[in-house]
Amino acid sequence: MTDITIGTVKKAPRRGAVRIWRGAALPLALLGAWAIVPHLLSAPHPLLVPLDEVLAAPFTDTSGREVWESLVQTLLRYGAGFALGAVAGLALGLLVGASGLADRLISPSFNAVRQIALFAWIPLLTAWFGNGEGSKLAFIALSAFFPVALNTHDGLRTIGRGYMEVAAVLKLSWGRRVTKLLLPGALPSIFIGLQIGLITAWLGTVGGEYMIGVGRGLGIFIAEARGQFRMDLVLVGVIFLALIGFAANVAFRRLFEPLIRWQGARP
Amino acid sequence: MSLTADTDATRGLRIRNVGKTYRIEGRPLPVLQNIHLDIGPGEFVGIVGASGCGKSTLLRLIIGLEADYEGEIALGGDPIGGPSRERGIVFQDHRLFPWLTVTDNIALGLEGLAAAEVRERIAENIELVGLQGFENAYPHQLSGGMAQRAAIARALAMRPQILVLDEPLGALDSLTRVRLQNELFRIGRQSRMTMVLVTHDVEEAVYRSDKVVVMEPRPGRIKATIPVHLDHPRQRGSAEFVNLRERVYEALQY
Ligand SMILES: Nc1ncnc2c1ncn2[C@@H]1O[C@H](COP(=O)(O)OP(=O)(O)O)[C@@H](O)[C@H]1O
Ligand SMILES: [Mg+2]
Repeated sequence: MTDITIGTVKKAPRRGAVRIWRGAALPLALLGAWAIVPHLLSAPHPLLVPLDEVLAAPFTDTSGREVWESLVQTLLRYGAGFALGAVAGLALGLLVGASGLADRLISPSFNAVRQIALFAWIPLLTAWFGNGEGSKLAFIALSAFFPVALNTHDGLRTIGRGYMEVAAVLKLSWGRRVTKLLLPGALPSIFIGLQIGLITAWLGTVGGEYMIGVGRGLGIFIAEARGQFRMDLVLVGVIFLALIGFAANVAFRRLFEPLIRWQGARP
Repeated sequence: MSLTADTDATRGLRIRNVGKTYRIEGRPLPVLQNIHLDIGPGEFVGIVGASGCGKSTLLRLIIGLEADYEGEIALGGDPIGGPSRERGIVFQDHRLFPWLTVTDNIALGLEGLAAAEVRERIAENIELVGLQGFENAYPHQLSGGMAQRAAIARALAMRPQILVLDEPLGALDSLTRVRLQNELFRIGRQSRMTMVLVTHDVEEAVYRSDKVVVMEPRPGRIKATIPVHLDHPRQRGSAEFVNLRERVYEALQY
């Protein structure tokens, strides 16, 4: 669904219609089976809800309709948390990438802290920020923060020394150095960092909701549905999760790929 | 070693007993040794020598890109302590920023000037290097020679007192090369811009230069500084010209 390209950003190969249909054959067959098989059973099985019932649940079911409010809450949380984490990651990555002193001061700690598995932060965060919105936002921000900071730093490190010398010879001011050299030079790598951050923040959003509970959101919706043994609502939640993750990735590429078009035709 | 009489020691570039040593895996590699050179304001100096004899390094020292060297380099009496807008360079590789158009690349060095002035200098230098129509092209859309011309425009637009050029015309076809050589030379004389040109083209060096510096390798030293006191335009077939050219060739064959 979401494909992460680690290394260089390349334009997605243009798949022909044939290849798209070939790739879609398996999911379509499974969907078909899902739509038909449960109806063939003599007695309904609680784990095997027919597709049409799942699709209808967000509109017809009283509990199912709550998915919309959950969706809105989750999206707001995702957006805010990602923005926080991405901005912080960008700032730290730029600082560490542009200043050798900051690099030596901060990088060792950063690399140590980075080793902590993401979900291990949850007990810490809830202890610091309580069980409410603060912890969830902090967790989402954190999950976006690491890949963005890391890739920004990396991008700056790989800007050729020759370009840095040009900046020195042309006596570029600090502002111009950042906007005309450091940021654009690191942009392909920043782009990758943001793309990964978007995915990890999405994992963080749903995982955080699911594990912290409290309030509204898709993760909480799914946790509650599972608690009530409502398999249809669990599936509704999961479908929404998949759609949003996919949409976020596509929207991001549409928005940002034109910004690094200059590198497209390089040998 | 002879010094030209018209060297203006107070305003010119003064290089005294300069040495530079790189370290490769901890071991010292002497790259330049005992370099003496005076370049007067408005002079055109050609530097020739086998590859690896430190020509690029010498230019980097003049520009202020190497902090760690022995000896003394001063421009107008002030020791060189880093890059300055007074000293421009055209690198051997064009080093245009790939994410900026030709126009924006040239504009880079014009920070702080009024917008109208910036536009004027960009247009003037794009025309000079013959890149009209490619103002908004990205470097990857240019041929190697065109990119090199854009880099020349970027350096010229800053109107430095001294412009050093590191084999800038090698990638150009011969017609464009001759035209650009003429233009560069004309600009240098017109604006009294000092030019230091590293080149493989001995004939060209003798044709343009007020003096030709011949370098020898391992470690890089100045083998000979040959003044060329001939009026412009020079006659390539004249006895004096041929004689000077042979002296340069002789110095090159150590
Ligand atoms: N950054 C560097 N580190 C180590 N050695 C270098 C470096 N730059 C140049 N050299 C060495 O210095 C010598 C002179 O190089 P250079 O000035 O580029 O010569 P030229 O321009 O005449 O071909 C070469 O042997 C080269 O390998
Ligand atoms: Mg060289």
